[in-house]
Amino acid sequence: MAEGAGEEKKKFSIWDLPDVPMGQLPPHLELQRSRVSCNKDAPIHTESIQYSGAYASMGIDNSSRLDRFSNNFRVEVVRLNEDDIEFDMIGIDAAIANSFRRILIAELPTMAIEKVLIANNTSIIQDEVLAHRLGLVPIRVDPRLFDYLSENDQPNEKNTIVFKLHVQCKRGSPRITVKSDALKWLPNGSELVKETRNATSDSSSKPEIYTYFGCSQETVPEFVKNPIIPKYPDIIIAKLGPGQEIELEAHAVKGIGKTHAKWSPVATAWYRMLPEVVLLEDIEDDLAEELKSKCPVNVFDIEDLGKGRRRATVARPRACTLCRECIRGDDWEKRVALRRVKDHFIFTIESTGALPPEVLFTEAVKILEDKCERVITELS
Amino acid sequence: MLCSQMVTFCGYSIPHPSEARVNIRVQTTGDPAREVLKEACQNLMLMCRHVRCTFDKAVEDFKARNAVKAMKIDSQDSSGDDSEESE
Repeated sequence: MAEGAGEEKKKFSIWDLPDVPMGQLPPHLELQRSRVSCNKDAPIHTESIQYSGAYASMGIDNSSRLDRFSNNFRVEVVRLNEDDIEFDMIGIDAAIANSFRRILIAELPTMAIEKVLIANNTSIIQDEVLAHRLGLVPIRVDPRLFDYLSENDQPNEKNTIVFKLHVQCKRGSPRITVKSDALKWLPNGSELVKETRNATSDSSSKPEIYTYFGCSQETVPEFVKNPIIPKYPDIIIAKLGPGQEIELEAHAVKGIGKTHAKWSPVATAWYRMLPEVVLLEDIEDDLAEELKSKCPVNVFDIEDLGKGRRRATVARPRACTLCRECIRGDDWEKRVALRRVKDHFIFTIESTGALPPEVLFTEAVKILEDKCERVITELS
Repeated sequence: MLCSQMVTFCGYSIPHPSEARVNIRVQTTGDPAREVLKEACQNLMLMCRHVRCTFDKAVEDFKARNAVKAMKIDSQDSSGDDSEESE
């Protein structure tokens, strides 16, 4: 009997109440579906509820439809500089945001120095250390203008960039620092000649060279406007004492970050979910002052209610770093709720200089599309 | 794919991280699983395209807004100088 009454009561409260709209989840379930609650010990409800039948008993259709996504999806750019961008993506799933981040770090191609032909190195920096350092120097060039160089290809003007470094510290002069602006671009290809093992070398045999440039890279109009140089001219590569010399040629090829981190086009790319700080009860006077002083990034503010009473408000929830200082101590968890919105991502992309950051993101999305297409063609 | 109404079970596993191989298992309510997988990939492609369009528009809007702001600041500065000079 009691059960029957209980069931009736449930039915009444969910289906028959006129002000509860059909097709909407009750607030506590909506909270569970769309927010990550960050408690003192650990966050809960972190997984995204994607299963289409998840809320079937409530009459909610949880399946994601493309039109719903297209209507709800928004992008807002907060900051855009030459080298970094911060923007908000609202309405997207965490898995897709993570794929973009991973593609930005590991699968966007760039140009980086791969082969270093050292003609003379009398400095104290070892050959391999010098080569490693040269590989990490970011080069300001659009990698989309180049092709990949595979093992069977010959290095030519379409897949290689050649730099030359020739520095000498004369005896009697002070120590010099070799910076990355000493790398000179050779648009006509390599100047070094391969050593022939043939003991009988007649004068008619042509010396073998390292690169086969059909035409000078300077003929490409893009490079006339922006000559290929390292992005930052003040990167220290080596230091030379008196009498030491470095003479080398460096060949840069196209690669992706998965093979080696020098080919990653972003200094880094990261995202965080939008923090939501909610005051569960009114916090007044002394407690409000205490709350405001607890937060190291000044999320809270005090507003005056008149008659000397003050109340705490949440002024800058976006700045919250989830340090959980405001819920440390007794009873504070009942007053302040720290949450994160599950489908609002604050993306930050810092580019190393090859491409502007907004172009990087567009290219990353294109790469994901290409992968989908490849899967589709393989399946059919 | 999990959001599609035809799917009852779907999961993936990577047998060993050193080799690039992913096992995907899809179980559907009657439709051929291959079609469901293809449809999911196509949806993902459309989503990506939409993301790209929205992002490009947002960047353009931001640049336009900033250009207008920069022009306003310039004109304010120049008008301020003029008024100072006249005084």
